[in-house]
Amino acid sequence: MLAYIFRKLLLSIPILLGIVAVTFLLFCIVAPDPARVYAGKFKSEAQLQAIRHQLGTDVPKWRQFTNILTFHFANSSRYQESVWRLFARKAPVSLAIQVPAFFIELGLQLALALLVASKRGTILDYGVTFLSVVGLSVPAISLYLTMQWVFGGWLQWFPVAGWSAGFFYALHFAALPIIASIIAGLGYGVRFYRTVVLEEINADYVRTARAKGVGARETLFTHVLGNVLIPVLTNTVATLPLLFVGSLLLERLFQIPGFGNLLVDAIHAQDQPVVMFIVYVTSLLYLLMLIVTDVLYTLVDPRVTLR
Amino acid sequence: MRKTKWIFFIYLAMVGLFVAGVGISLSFTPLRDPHTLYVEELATLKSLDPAEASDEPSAALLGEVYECLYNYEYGVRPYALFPEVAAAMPEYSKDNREMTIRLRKGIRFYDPQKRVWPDGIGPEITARDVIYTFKRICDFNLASPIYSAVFQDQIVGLEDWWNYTKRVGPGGVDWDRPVTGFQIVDEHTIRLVMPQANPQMIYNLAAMWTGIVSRDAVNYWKRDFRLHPVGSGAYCVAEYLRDQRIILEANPVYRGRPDADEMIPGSDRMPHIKRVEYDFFQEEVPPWLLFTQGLFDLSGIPKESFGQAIRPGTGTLTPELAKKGIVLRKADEAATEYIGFNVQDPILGKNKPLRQAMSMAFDRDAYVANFWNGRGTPGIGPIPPGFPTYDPHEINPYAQFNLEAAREKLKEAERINGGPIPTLHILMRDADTLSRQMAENFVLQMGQIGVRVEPEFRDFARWLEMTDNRQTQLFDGGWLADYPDEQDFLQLFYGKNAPAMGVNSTAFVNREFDKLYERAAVMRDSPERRQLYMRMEKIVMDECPWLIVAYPKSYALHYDWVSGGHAMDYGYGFFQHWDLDEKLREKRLGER
Repeated sequence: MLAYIFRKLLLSIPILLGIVAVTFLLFCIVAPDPARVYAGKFKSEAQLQAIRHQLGTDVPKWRQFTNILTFHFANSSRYQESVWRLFARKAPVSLAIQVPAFFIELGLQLALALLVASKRGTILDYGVTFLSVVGLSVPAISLYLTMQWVFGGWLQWFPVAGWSAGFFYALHFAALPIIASIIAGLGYGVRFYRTVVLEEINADYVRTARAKGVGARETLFTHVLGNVLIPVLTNTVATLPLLFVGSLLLERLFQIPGFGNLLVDAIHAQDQPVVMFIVYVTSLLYLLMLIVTDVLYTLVDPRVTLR
Repeated sequence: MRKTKWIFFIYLAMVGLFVAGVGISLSFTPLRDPHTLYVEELATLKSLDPAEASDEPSAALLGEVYECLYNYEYGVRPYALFPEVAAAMPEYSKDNREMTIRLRKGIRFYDPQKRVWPDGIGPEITARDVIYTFKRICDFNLASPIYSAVFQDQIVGLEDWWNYTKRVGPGGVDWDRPVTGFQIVDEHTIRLVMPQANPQMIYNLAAMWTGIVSRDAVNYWKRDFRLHPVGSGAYCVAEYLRDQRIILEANPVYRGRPDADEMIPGSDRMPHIKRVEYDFFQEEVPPWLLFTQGLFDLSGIPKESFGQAIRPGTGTLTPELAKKGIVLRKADEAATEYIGFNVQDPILGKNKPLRQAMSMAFDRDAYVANFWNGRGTPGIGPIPPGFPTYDPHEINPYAQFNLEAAREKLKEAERINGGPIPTLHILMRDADTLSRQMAENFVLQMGQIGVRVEPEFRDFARWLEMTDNRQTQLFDGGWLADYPDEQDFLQLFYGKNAPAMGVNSTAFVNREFDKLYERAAVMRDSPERRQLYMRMEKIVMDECPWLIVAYPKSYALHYDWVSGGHAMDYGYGFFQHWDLDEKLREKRLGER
């Protein structure tokens, strides 16, 4: 297994280099001079030189690239602040929304998928499937805006948007975005996991177990669920790093000062250090989590060995 | 199965805790303070350091905390400056190159966090602080975006200072090193020395960029000074949650009026509203919803909600909003929206009739009605309303929608071009839906006279770079006045500003215009200077480097429990003049 992990790590290096290099090149080719953006409408060459010096863009491009590779990011041109400090400030806010939403959503998806798969062909199955397809079809932005209007504007059960410091105050603002995120993601997950569960339910070993007199519930939770875990792992573990980034649309609409909102601002403002940071760090974490996923397979399915 | 059951129950417990937490949090609604004015701001602040606050939202907020040497009299038209930290208007030398400014005594800095000074009360503002503020803007290591707009090439000896700060680096600057153009005459008198007369310099001294800062505060906070403002204005920053909220509280050592020499006693003291809370948003719908619920006291009107707020065709408030006690305030903005023609372009540059034809083919009334919800005045010349030389009855034949005349002009244009006009390209400064609709409208309008136009869409940063480098044929643009002097607009056509990066984005050069501009540049306001301005404006209207679109109007809403507000294009520190009827607000919100 160690050899496998080592090999995967080595293979990840050129992938990571490629991702960072392509993003960096795109910025070099497409993005305007950040000094001009910062300077605004009145600018002189002397002033631009000073701004470039402060932003760290007056060094050769190859030096800028190697700085990025060694995690020496320039300060955000938009915020004039270290990207690490920005990350430390904003990532917890994104996580406060994404982590509960992720776990609650996953649990609900699995539970509903198991339920409708075991009741296949019934009204319940058709009803949940129909709602899942509707949920898949409705654009997330429409859902978020509707929930803001209904629960924030009309019923006034939750604040329309915003954030606050302090645990319960933050939870007060986080509740509606979390619920909205869960509802937006349910449709896809239920449909996907239902298909996975159905494949397992129709397998020979399940028929054998049922023929031997094992109860339906025990079959589902003891035999089927374990085998369903492999696609669940594939689907979820590798996306864990993206929890730090948050949901761009959700944070924008609900005015959550998280990392997703920062990324949208950074793209608009051509804030290269922030964008490079997010691309680099999330790619690195993603590649690492793929390796973790492979390792977890061996725990979930003893038949799997990594060589 | 047992393991699965345990996992399931633990999971259920966590979900239950979360739901319980949400239930408890519903009672944790942030308390509403009855003495607070609640304001929403659709922006992200750049910095709370005046030397870095080149954007309007930052400057407007800082204006509540910092003071400058001069300010604009609140609610007065025509705009008039008064001395704020200065004791009097400047004394000019005979050649108008030197400005001697005396300072008021007894104005103190205040640090609400009590970190710079133990009791928070700082020393009196002296000439040393003012000159330090100016020098700081000209520090290479700070890289202030304001430097070239305010002081570069306009103060004697500044280049030496700039090179000195560049040479010694951030830690080595001796702030007491003299600069010829920034003089400390005595403890309460400064003198600015300019290479030539510059009547607009006084406007720079009334812009928030030159808000006076404390050297002690900058030395204490260092780079974080941009997060911890320490000023002498009516308010101080009590709380700052970046990208979320700023809370301002009345400055306890503020003298009570911006034009006062010493502390004013009693109920005459301003600010009347002791606390202001700004909440920041990037999308328009959420703050609009909150405003209609009465949770914000002021608001703009999002385009999507315009029909909900304003009755079509009348420009008045809908009965639903009027019933809630909402008041509409309209005002002309000191701004001009235009489409620029790059006169360096081989097709557009030599072909004045083409530019004139396109200008006459543009229906400004329809544009304002369709894209601005009627919030604007069709443009005439480059100078918008509010300036002495603006005449709403002036006739600019090239700013009047006339397809017949446009087609005749186009024939002339085709003769100059030696054939049909090839497809032109217009660069839009955004790629959002509105920009696409506006571009489509422009293409259709020009198509009416047979001119084909293809739009290109870029984000603002790229648009700025391309217009700076004169890489466009046509481009949509706008200019918002920085001060109440027509020179602010006319500089956009001055030949010496035409090279790349200059503000003359159309690269327009006209010898007669430049001569008139240089004559006016050293004159203070007078009937003679206004005549020069009017002649320059006529040249611009005739030569058509701009297709003048329109002058925007602002529509602002506030509840009737807020009073004392005036629309101001210039100046700062406005909230101290406002009043809040707390009992009326409580009554109205209680009735809902």
